[in-house]
Amino acid sequence: MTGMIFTPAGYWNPIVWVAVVIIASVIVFMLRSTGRKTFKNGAQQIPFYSGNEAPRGHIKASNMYWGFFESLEKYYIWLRKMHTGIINDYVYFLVIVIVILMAALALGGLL
Amino acid sequence: MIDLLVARILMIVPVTVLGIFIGLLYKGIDRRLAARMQARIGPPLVQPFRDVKKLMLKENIVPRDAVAWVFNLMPFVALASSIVLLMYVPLFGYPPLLEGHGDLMLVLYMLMFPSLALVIGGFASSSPYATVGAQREMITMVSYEFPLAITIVALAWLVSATAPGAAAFSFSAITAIPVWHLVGVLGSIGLALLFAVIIFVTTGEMGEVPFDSAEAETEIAGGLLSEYSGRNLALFYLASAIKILVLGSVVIALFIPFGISGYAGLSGIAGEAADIGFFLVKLFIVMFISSTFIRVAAARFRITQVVKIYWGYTTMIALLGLVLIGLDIFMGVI
Repeated sequence: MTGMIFTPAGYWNPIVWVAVVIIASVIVFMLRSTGRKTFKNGAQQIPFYSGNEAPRGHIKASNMYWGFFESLEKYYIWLRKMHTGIINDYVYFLVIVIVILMAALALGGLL
Repeated sequence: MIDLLVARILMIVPVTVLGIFIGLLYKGIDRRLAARMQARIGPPLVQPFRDVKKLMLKENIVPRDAVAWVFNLMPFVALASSIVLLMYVPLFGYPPLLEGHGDLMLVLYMLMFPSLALVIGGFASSSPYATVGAQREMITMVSYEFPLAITIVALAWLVSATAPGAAAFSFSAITAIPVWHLVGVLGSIGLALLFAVIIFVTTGEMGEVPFDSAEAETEIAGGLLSEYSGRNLALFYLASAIKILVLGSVVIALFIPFGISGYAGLSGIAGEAADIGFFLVKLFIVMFISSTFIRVAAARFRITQVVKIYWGYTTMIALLGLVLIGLDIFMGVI
Protein backbone atom coordinates (compact mmCIF):
# COMPACT_ATOMS: atom_id res chain seq x y z
CA MET A 1 0.00 0.00 0.00
CA THR A 2 1.39 3.43 -1.00
CA GLY A 3 2.68 5.60 1.83
CA MET A 4 2.60 2.88 4.46
CA ILE A 5 5.07 3.34 7.32
CA PHE A 6 6.04 0.25 9.31
CA THR A 7 7.72 0.18 12.70
CA PRO A 8 8.91 -3.01 14.45
CA ALA A 9 5.62 -3.25 16.35
CA GLY A 10 3.10 -1.21 14.36
CA TYR A 11 2.21 0.76 11.26
CA TRP A 12 0.31 3.74 9.90
CA ASN A 13 -0.48 5.34 6.60
CA PRO A 14 -0.16 9.17 6.63
CA ILE A 15 -1.79 9.53 3.18
CA VAL A 16 -4.96 7.73 4.31
CA TRP A 17 -4.83 9.72 7.56
CA VAL A 18 -4.73 13.03 5.68
CA ALA A 19 -7.61 11.88 3.44
CA VAL A 20 -9.70 11.00 6.51
CA VAL A 21 -8.84 14.32 8.18
CA ILE A 22 -10.06 16.17 5.06
CA ILE A 23 -13.32 14.19 4.96
CA ALA A 24 -13.88 14.69 8.71
CA SER A 25 -13.20 18.43 8.26
CA VAL A 26 -15.83 18.62 5.50
CA ILE A 27 -18.35 16.86 7.77
CA VAL A 28 -17.59 19.26 10.64
CA PHE A 29 -17.72 22.28 8.31
CA MET A 30 -21.18 21.23 7.08
CA LEU A 31 -22.34 20.60 10.63
CA ARG A 32 -20.95 23.92 11.83
CA SER A 33 -22.58 25.85 8.99
CA THR A 34 -26.02 24.79 10.25
CA GLY A 35 -25.41 26.81 13.43
CA ARG A 36 -26.00 30.52 14.00
CA LYS A 37 -23.05 32.61 12.83
CA THR A 38 -23.81 36.05 14.21
CA PHE A 39 -23.75 37.71 17.60
CA LYS A 40 -24.39 41.20 18.97
CA ASN A 41 -21.29 43.20 19.72
CA GLY A 42 -21.13 44.80 23.13
CA ALA A 43 -21.30 43.86 26.78
CA GLN A 44 -21.64 40.13 26.16
CA GLN A 45 -18.19 40.13 24.58
CA ILE A 46 -16.56 41.06 27.89
CA PRO A 47 -15.12 37.89 29.47
CA PHE A 48 -17.04 36.65 32.50
CA TYR A 49 -15.18 37.39 35.71
CA SER A 50 -17.88 37.02 38.36
CA GLY A 51 -19.16 40.54 37.78
CA ASN A 52 -15.76 42.27 38.06
CA GLU A 53 -13.89 43.81 35.17
CA ALA A 54 -11.70 41.05 33.75
CA PRO A 55 -8.01 41.94 33.29
CA ARG A 56 -7.22 42.76 29.65
CA GLY A 57 -4.82 40.71 27.54
CA HIS A 58 -3.56 37.18 27.65
CA ILE A 59 -1.77 35.22 30.29
CA LYS A 60 1.23 33.59 28.70
CA ALA A 61 1.28 29.85 28.14
CA SER A 62 4.60 29.74 30.01
CA ASN A 63 2.51 29.38 33.18
CA MET A 64 1.24 26.06 31.85
CA TYR A 65 3.21 23.84 34.24
CA TRP A 66 2.32 25.68 37.41
CA GLY A 67 0.38 22.64 38.68
CA PHE A 68 3.42 20.43 38.29
CA PHE A 69 5.72 22.77 40.20
CA GLU A 70 3.09 23.14 42.89
CA SER A 71 2.32 19.45 43.39
CA LEU A 72 5.82 18.10 42.82
CA GLU A 73 7.58 20.91 44.66
CA LYS A 74 9.72 18.59 46.82
CA TYR A 75 10.86 16.72 43.73
CA TYR A 76 11.86 19.93 41.96
CA ILE A 77 13.72 21.18 45.04
CA TRP A 78 15.59 17.86 45.12
CA LEU A 79 16.38 18.19 41.41
CA ARG A 80 17.66 21.75 41.85
CA LYS A 81 19.97 20.62 44.66
CA MET A 82 21.39 17.95 42.33
CA HIS A 83 22.32 20.63 39.77
CA THR A 84 25.35 21.92 41.63
CA GLY A 85 27.21 23.19 38.57
CA ILE A 86 30.24 21.06 39.48
CA ILE A 87 31.31 18.88 36.55
CA ASN A 88 32.49 16.06 38.84
CA ASP A 89 28.91 15.60 40.12
CA TYR A 90 27.52 15.32 36.58
CA VAL A 91 30.13 12.71 35.59
CA TYR A 92 29.28 10.85 38.79
CA PHE A 93 25.56 10.78 37.77
CA LEU A 94 26.49 9.63 34.25
CA VAL A 95 28.51 6.71 35.65
CA ILE A 96 25.61 5.67 37.93
CA VAL A 97 23.09 5.75 35.04
CA ILE A 98 25.43 3.75 32.77
CA VAL A 99 25.92 1.11 35.51
CA ILE A 100 22.13 0.82 35.99
CA LEU A 101 21.56 0.52 32.20
CA MET A 102 24.30 -2.10 31.82
CA ALA A 103 22.87 -4.07 34.72
CA ALA A 104 19.38 -3.94 33.15
CA LEU A 105 20.76 -5.07 29.78
CA ALA A 106 22.73 -7.87 31.45
CA LEU A 107 19.65 -9.06 33.33
CA GLY A 108 17.67 -9.05 30.09
CA GLY A 109 20.35 -11.20 28.45
CA LEU A 110 21.24 -8.50 25.93
CA LEU A 111 24.93 -8.32 26.91
CA MET B 1 -7.24 -3.01 -2.58
CA ILE B 2 -8.03 0.56 -3.73
CA ASP B 3 -11.73 -0.34 -4.15
CA LEU B 4 -11.81 -1.65 -0.60
CA LEU B 5 -10.20 1.55 0.69
CA VAL B 6 -12.69 3.69 -1.23
CA ALA B 7 -15.56 1.61 0.19
CA ARG B 8 -14.18 2.16 3.70
CA ILE B 9 -13.81 5.90 3.13
CA LEU B 10 -17.43 6.06 1.96
CA MET B 11 -18.41 4.51 5.29
CA ILE B 12 -16.94 7.45 7.23
CA VAL B 13 -20.16 9.49 7.11
CA PRO B 14 -22.49 6.73 8.43
CA VAL B 15 -19.96 5.74 11.11
CA THR B 16 -19.72 9.40 12.19
CA VAL B 17 -23.51 9.73 12.42
CA LEU B 18 -23.70 6.49 14.41
CA GLY B 19 -20.84 7.61 16.68
CA ILE B 20 -22.53 10.94 17.44
CA PHE B 21 -25.87 9.20 18.05
CA ILE B 22 -24.44 6.61 20.48
CA GLY B 23 -22.25 9.21 22.23
CA LEU B 24 -25.15 11.59 22.80
CA LEU B 25 -27.45 8.74 23.82
CA TYR B 26 -24.88 7.60 26.37
CA LYS B 27 -24.61 11.14 27.71
CA GLY B 28 -28.40 11.05 28.21
CA ILE B 29 -28.24 7.68 29.99
CA ASP B 30 -25.32 8.92 32.10
CA ARG B 31 -27.17 12.04 33.23
CA ARG B 32 -30.30 10.06 33.99
CA LEU B 33 -28.45 7.41 35.99
CA ALA B 34 -26.40 9.99 37.89
CA ALA B 35 -29.61 11.80 38.78
CA ARG B 36 -31.28 8.60 40.02
CA MET B 37 -28.20 7.78 42.13
CA GLN B 38 -28.58 11.23 43.75
CA ALA B 39 -32.34 10.70 44.33
CA ARG B 40 -33.30 13.11 41.52
CA ILE B 41 -35.51 12.39 38.50
CA GLY B 42 -33.04 13.68 35.93
CA PRO B 43 -33.51 14.89 32.35
CA PRO B 44 -35.04 12.78 29.54
CA LEU B 45 -32.66 10.55 27.56
CA VAL B 46 -32.91 12.84 24.52
CA GLN B 47 -31.78 15.92 26.48
CA PRO B 48 -28.21 15.94 24.97
CA PHE B 49 -29.74 15.98 21.45
CA ARG B 50 -31.93 18.94 22.48
CA ASP B 51 -28.90 20.67 24.00
CA VAL B 52 -26.99 20.43 20.71
CA LYS B 53 -30.01 21.70 18.75
CA LYS B 54 -30.41 24.63 21.16
CA LEU B 55 -26.73 25.53 21.06
CA MET B 56 -26.84 25.64 17.26
CA LEU B 57 -29.57 28.30 17.52
CA LYS B 58 -27.71 30.41 20.09
CA GLU B 59 -25.31 33.29 19.40
CA ASN B 60 -21.70 32.29 18.74
CA ILE B 61 -20.01 34.95 20.85
CA VAL B 62 -16.31 35.73 20.42
CA PRO B 63 -14.83 37.54 23.48
CA ARG B 64 -13.42 41.04 23.20
CA ASP B 65 -9.69 40.26 23.41
CA ALA B 66 -9.80 36.72 22.03
CA VAL B 67 -7.61 35.52 19.18
CA ALA B 68 -10.73 35.03 17.07
CA TRP B 69 -9.44 32.63 14.43
CA VAL B 70 -7.84 30.30 16.98
CA PHE B 71 -10.90 30.59 19.23
CA ASN B 72 -13.19 29.52 16.34
CA LEU B 73 -10.82 26.92 14.90
CA MET B 74 -10.28 24.82 18.04
CA PRO B 75 -13.85 23.41 18.38
CA PHE B 76 -13.55 22.47 14.71
CA VAL B 77 -10.24 20.67 15.35
CA ALA B 78 -11.64 18.89 18.43
CA LEU B 79 -14.62 17.43 16.56
CA ALA B 80 -12.70 16.59 13.37
CA SER B 81 -9.98 14.76 15.33
CA SER B 82 -12.63 12.86 17.33
CA ILE B 83 -14.24 11.72 14.06
CA VAL B 84 -10.85 10.61 12.72
CA LEU B 85 -10.26 8.65 15.94
CA LEU B 86 -13.55 6.84 15.46
CA MET B 87 -12.25 5.36 12.20
CA TYR B 88 -9.21 3.75 13.83
CA VAL B 89 -10.85 1.92 16.75
CA PRO B 90 -12.74 -1.40 16.63
CA LEU B 91 -16.48 -0.78 16.99
CA PHE B 92 -19.32 -3.23 17.67
CA GLY B 93 -16.99 -6.24 17.67
CA TYR B 94 -15.76 -5.50 14.14
CA PRO B 95 -12.21 -4.49 13.16
CA PRO B 96 -11.56 -0.73 12.81
CA LEU B 97 -12.92 0.84 9.63
CA LEU B 98 -9.34 1.72 8.66
CA GLU B 99 -7.81 -1.54 9.88
CA GLY B 100 -4.30 -1.90 8.51
CA HIS B 101 -3.85 1.88 8.10
CA GLY B 102 -3.16 2.85 11.70
CA ASP B 103 -2.54 1.15 15.02
CA LEU B 104 -2.99 1.71 18.73
CA MET B 105 -0.07 4.16 18.92
CA LEU B 106 -1.78 6.40 16.37
CA VAL B 107 -4.96 6.28 18.47
CA LEU B 108 -2.97 7.19 21.61
CA TYR B 109 -1.45 10.25 19.92
CA MET B 110 -4.76 11.23 18.34
CA LEU B 111 -6.48 11.07 21.74
CA MET B 112 -4.44 14.14 22.73
CA PHE B 113 -5.85 16.26 19.87
CA PRO B 114 -9.31 17.05 21.34
CA SER B 115 -7.76 17.87 24.74
CA LEU B 116 -5.07 20.05 23.14
CA ALA B 117 -7.77 21.84 21.13
CA LEU B 118 -9.55 22.61 24.39
CA VAL B 119 -6.32 23.93 25.93
CA ILE B 120 -5.45 26.14 22.95
CA GLY B 121 -9.06 27.37 22.68
CA GLY B 122 -8.99 28.23 26.39
CA PHE B 123 -5.75 30.21 26.11
CA ALA B 124 -7.08 32.01 23.02
CA SER B 125 -10.29 33.12 24.71
CA SER B 126 -8.65 35.82 26.90
CA SER B 127 -10.72 34.86 29.93
CA PRO B 128 -8.85 34.46 33.25
CA TYR B 129 -11.05 31.49 34.13
CA ALA B 130 -10.39 29.84 30.75
CA THR B 131 -6.65 30.39 31.15
CA VAL B 132 -6.66 28.69 34.55
CA GLY B 133 -8.80 25.89 33.07
CA ALA B 134 -6.42 25.49 30.13
CA GLN B 135 -3.45 25.19 32.48
CA ARG B 136 -5.28 22.57 34.52
CA GLU B 137 -6.34 20.59 31.43
CA MET B 138 -2.75 20.52 30.18
CA ILE B 139 -1.50 19.27 33.53
CA THR B 140 -4.25 16.64 33.80
CA MET B 141 -3.45 15.43 30.29
CA VAL B 142 0.28 15.07 30.96
CA SER B 143 -0.51 13.33 34.26
CA TYR B 144 -2.73 10.55 32.94
CA GLU B 145 -0.59 9.90 29.84
CA PHE B 146 2.13 8.22 31.94
CA PRO B 147 0.03 5.39 33.50
CA LEU B 148 -1.82 5.01 30.19
CA ALA B 149 1.47 4.55 28.32
CA ILE B 150 2.64 1.94 30.85
CA THR B 151 -0.62 0.01 30.39
CA ILE B 152 -0.35 0.02 26.60
CA VAL B 153 3.34 -0.96 26.64
CA ALA B 154 2.62 -3.84 29.06
CA LEU B 155 -0.10 -5.21 26.78
CA ALA B 156 2.05 -4.83 23.66
CA TRP B 157 4.91 -6.60 25.44
CA LEU B 158 2.58 -9.46 26.35
CA VAL B 159 1.32 -9.77 22.77
CA SER B 160 4.82 -9.61 21.27
CA ALA B 161 6.08 -12.24 23.77
CA THR B 162 3.31 -14.68 22.92
CA ALA B 163 3.10 -13.95 19.19
CA PRO B 164 6.64 -13.05 18.02
CA GLY B 165 6.71 -11.19 14.73
CA ALA B 166 3.17 -9.84 15.10
CA ALA B 167 2.60 -6.06 14.98
CA ALA B 168 2.06 -5.82 18.75
CA PHE B 169 0.35 -2.41 18.59
CA SER B 170 -2.20 -3.42 15.96
CA PHE B 171 -5.75 -3.94 17.16
CA SER B 172 -6.00 -7.15 15.13
CA ALA B 173 -3.08 -8.71 17.07
CA ILE B 174 -4.38 -7.48 20.43
CA THR B 175 -7.97 -8.63 19.89
CA ALA B 176 -7.06 -11.91 18.12
CA ILE B 177 -6.64 -13.68 21.45
CA PRO B 178 -7.97 -11.94 24.59
CA VAL B 179 -4.98 -11.02 26.78
CA TRP B 180 -6.44 -12.96 29.73
CA HIS B 181 -5.83 -16.19 27.78
CA LEU B 182 -2.11 -15.40 27.42
CA VAL B 183 -1.15 -15.24 31.10
CA GLY B 184 -1.00 -17.32 34.27
CA VAL B 185 -2.03 -16.33 37.80
CA LEU B 186 0.59 -13.59 38.25
CA GLY B 187 -0.15 -12.15 34.82
CA SER B 188 -3.89 -12.18 35.55
CA ILE B 189 -3.34 -10.11 38.69
CA GLY B 190 -1.16 -7.75 36.65
CA LEU B 191 -3.84 -7.44 33.97
CA ALA B 192 -6.53 -6.79 36.60
CA LEU B 193 -4.39 -3.93 37.97
CA LEU B 194 -3.87 -2.49 34.48
CA PHE B 195 -7.59 -2.77 33.78
CA ALA B 196 -8.30 -0.76 36.94
CA VAL B 197 -5.68 1.80 35.84
CA ILE B 198 -7.18 2.28 32.38
CA ILE B 199 -10.68 2.67 33.84
CA PHE B 200 -9.31 5.41 36.12
CA VAL B 201 -7.43 7.03 33.22
CA THR B 202 -10.63 6.99 31.13
CA THR B 203 -12.34 9.13 33.78
CA GLY B 204 -9.56 11.71 33.45
CA GLU B 205 -9.58 11.51 29.64
CA MET B 206 -13.28 12.38 29.66
CA GLY B 207 -12.73 15.23 32.10
CA GLU B 208 -15.34 13.88 34.48
CA VAL B 209 -15.54 14.43 38.24
CA PRO B 210 -13.24 13.93 40.20
CA PHE B 211 -10.81 14.96 37.43
CA ASP B 212 -12.81 17.91 36.06
CA SER B 213 -10.78 20.66 37.71
CA ALA B 214 -10.19 22.13 34.21
CA GLU B 215 -13.90 22.97 33.95
CA ALA B 216 -14.97 23.05 37.60
CA GLU B 217 -18.21 25.04 37.20
CA THR B 218 -18.47 25.91 40.89
CA GLU B 219 -14.88 27.23 41.10
CA ILE B 220 -13.86 28.67 37.74
CA ALA B 221 -17.23 28.93 36.00
CA GLY B 222 -16.64 26.25 33.38
CA GLY B 223 -12.91 26.98 33.02
CA LEU B 224 -11.70 26.57 29.48
CA LEU B 225 -15.27 26.48 28.15
CA SER B 226 -16.45 29.54 30.08
CA GLU B 227 -16.37 31.86 27.04
CA TYR B 228 -17.61 29.33 24.48
CA SER B 229 -21.23 29.49 23.33
CA GLY B 230 -23.47 28.62 20.38
CA ARG B 231 -22.16 26.40 17.63
CA ASN B 232 -18.57 26.44 18.96
CA LEU B 233 -19.73 24.96 22.26
CA ALA B 234 -21.93 22.48 20.35
CA LEU B 235 -18.88 21.22 18.45
CA PHE B 236 -16.94 20.68 21.68
CA TYR B 237 -19.99 18.89 23.11
CA LEU B 238 -20.22 16.58 20.08
CA ALA B 239 -16.47 15.91 20.27
CA SER B 240 -16.82 14.80 23.89
CA ALA B 241 -19.76 12.55 22.91
CA ILE B 242 -17.68 10.81 20.24
CA LYS B 243 -14.74 10.52 22.62
CA ILE B 244 -16.96 8.50 24.99
CA LEU B 245 -17.46 5.87 22.28
CA VAL B 246 -13.77 5.94 21.29
CA LEU B 247 -12.46 5.51 24.84
CA GLY B 248 -14.98 2.79 25.67
CA SER B 249 -14.10 0.94 22.45
CA VAL B 250 -10.35 1.11 23.19
CA VAL B 251 -10.86 -0.33 26.71
CA ILE B 252 -13.09 -3.09 25.29
CA ALA B 253 -10.59 -3.93 22.54
CA LEU B 254 -7.70 -4.13 24.99
CA PHE B 255 -9.28 -6.01 27.86
CA ILE B 256 -12.69 -7.47 26.97
CA PRO B 257 -12.78 -8.22 23.22
CA PHE B 258 -14.96 -11.30 23.78
CA GLY B 259 -17.99 -11.97 21.60
CA ILE B 260 -21.10 -13.78 22.80
CA SER B 261 -22.27 -15.50 19.61
CA GLY B 262 -19.81 -18.40 20.02
CA TYR B 263 -20.95 -19.12 23.59
CA ALA B 264 -24.64 -18.83 22.63
CA GLY B 265 -24.21 -21.06 19.57
CA LEU B 266 -25.49 -18.32 17.26
CA SER B 267 -24.29 -17.74 13.71
CA GLY B 268 -25.14 -15.56 10.70
CA ILE B 269 -27.19 -12.41 11.25
CA ALA B 270 -28.42 -13.56 14.69
CA GLY B 271 -24.80 -14.07 15.82
CA GLU B 272 -23.71 -10.66 14.53
CA ALA B 273 -26.71 -8.97 16.15
CA ALA B 274 -25.88 -10.71 19.44
CA ASP B 275 -22.25 -9.54 19.26
CA ILE B 276 -23.28 -5.95 18.47
CA GLY B 277 -25.73 -6.00 21.38
CA PHE B 278 -23.06 -7.46 23.65
CA PHE B 279 -20.60 -4.73 22.59
CA LEU B 280 -23.14 -2.08 23.60
CA VAL B 281 -23.61 -3.81 26.97
CA LYS B 282 -19.82 -3.85 27.52
CA LEU B 283 -19.61 -0.19 26.47
CA PHE B 284 -22.35 0.69 28.92
CA ILE B 285 -20.63 -1.18 31.78
CA VAL B 286 -17.20 0.39 31.06
CA MET B 287 -18.64 3.89 30.82
CA PHE B 288 -20.90 3.39 33.84
CA ILE B 289 -17.92 2.46 36.02
CA SER B 290 -15.44 4.99 34.63
CA SER B 291 -17.84 7.89 34.27
CA THR B 292 -21.22 7.70 36.01
CA PHE B 293 -20.30 5.75 39.15
CA ILE B 294 -16.99 7.49 39.87
CA ARG B 295 -18.35 10.99 39.34
CA VAL B 296 -21.33 10.41 41.58
CA ALA B 297 -19.27 8.67 44.26
CA ALA B 298 -16.35 11.11 44.44
CA ALA B 299 -15.83 14.82 44.93
CA ARG B 300 -13.56 16.92 42.72
CA PHE B 301 -9.80 16.68 43.27
CA ARG B 302 -7.66 19.79 43.36
CA ILE B 303 -5.26 19.99 40.41
CA THR B 304 -2.27 19.28 42.67
CA GLN B 305 -4.04 16.14 43.90
CA VAL B 306 -4.73 15.06 40.31
CA VAL B 307 -1.00 15.07 39.55
CA LYS B 308 -0.18 13.14 42.72
CA ILE B 309 -2.90 10.57 42.07
CA TYR B 310 -1.94 9.91 38.44
CA TRP B 311 1.85 10.23 38.73
CA GLY B 312 1.96 8.66 42.17
CA TYR B 313 -0.58 5.98 43.00
CA THR B 314 -1.91 5.16 39.50
CA THR B 315 1.58 4.99 37.97
CA MET B 316 2.79 2.77 40.83
CA ILE B 317 -0.16 0.40 40.29
CA ALA B 318 0.52 0.37 36.52
CA LEU B 319 4.21 -0.39 37.12
CA LEU B 320 3.26 -3.21 39.50
CA GLY B 321 0.98 -4.62 36.80
CA LEU B 322 3.81 -4.35 34.28
CA VAL B 323 6.24 -6.15 36.62
CA LEU B 324 3.73 -8.95 37.31
CA ILE B 325 3.14 -9.46 33.59
CA GLY B 326 6.91 -9.41 33.04
CA LEU B 327 7.39 -12.08 35.72
CA ASP B 328 4.59 -14.13 34.15
CA ILE B 329 6.27 -13.95 30.73
CA PHE B 330 9.71 -14.73 32.28
CA MET B 331 8.34 -17.76 34.17
CA GLY B 332 6.61 -18.96 31.01
CA VAL B 333 9.93 -18.81 29.12
CA ILE B 334 11.89 -20.78 31.75
